[in-house]
Amino acid sequence: MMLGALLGLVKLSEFLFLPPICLAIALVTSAAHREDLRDILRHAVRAWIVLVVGILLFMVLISYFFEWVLPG
Amino acid sequence: MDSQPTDSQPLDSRHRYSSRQRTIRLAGGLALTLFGCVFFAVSQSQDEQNRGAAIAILAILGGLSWAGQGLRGHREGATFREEALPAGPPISAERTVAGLLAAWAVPGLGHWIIGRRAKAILFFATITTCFLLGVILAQGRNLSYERDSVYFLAYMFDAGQTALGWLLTRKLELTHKIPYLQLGFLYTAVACLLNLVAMMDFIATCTRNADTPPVTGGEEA
Repeated sequence: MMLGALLGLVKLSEFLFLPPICLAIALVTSAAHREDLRDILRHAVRAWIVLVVGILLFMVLISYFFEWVLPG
Repeated sequence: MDSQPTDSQPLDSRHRYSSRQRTIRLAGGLALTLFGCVFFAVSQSQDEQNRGAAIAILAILGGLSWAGQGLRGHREGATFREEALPAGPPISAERTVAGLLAAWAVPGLGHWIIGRRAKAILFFATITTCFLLGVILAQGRNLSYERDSVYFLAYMFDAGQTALGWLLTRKLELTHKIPYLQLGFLYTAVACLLNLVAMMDFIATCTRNADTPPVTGGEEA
């Protein structure tokens, strides 16, 4: 319930733009210093998931900070 | 390609951090992440459009990456992969400079010139898509030097696409509110900075190959 309420604070329209840009960052940074395409893609998928989940968690954290910590 | 190192290969002891190095990376990474969060919060409260969000996100990502290295206890992997990568036939200095200029003008073109075709296509497709998405989101109003000169600090790393975009959109005026203008700036700026990463990878590839003795038998694959 708590997590659902927190996630509700994050604007969906803002979140929708996050995965594509994270995918671009993950792909290009994973390609650096790698030559094998399969290795690049495997690392990029992992990096993409970490990026999206990490930023989403921080969005929730910041929303929580603004909604409950600051007003209190 | 079979002999190339992958992420699953065991790490050499040279690549592991000492406990002090791990602590420094973990603490530094968390501090940078915290700075990013505070910067985001301050930017959000001071500026309605939150124009500092991109810097905050970059700081958070960098901090998380550093903290992750501290937790895992070894380097990101780039260095040890670099040492283990098989060097191809040497690339002359002229080709390196020409390739670098080409990569600056068109993402991935440098890699294409030296024969790294798969990476060239990957870089071109990713960076160009990201750049175009930014222009579409901003409805072509994010490439004006007069209005938004500060973003050209990032745009300058992708000269060809920026110049072409500027030529095509320079007569567009900002006459109405564009809902995703800031996202457009973010996408385009990130695309251009990613081209910098691609150019650095190109230089690293050329440098690695330059250190090897000449191989008889023609061009690289």
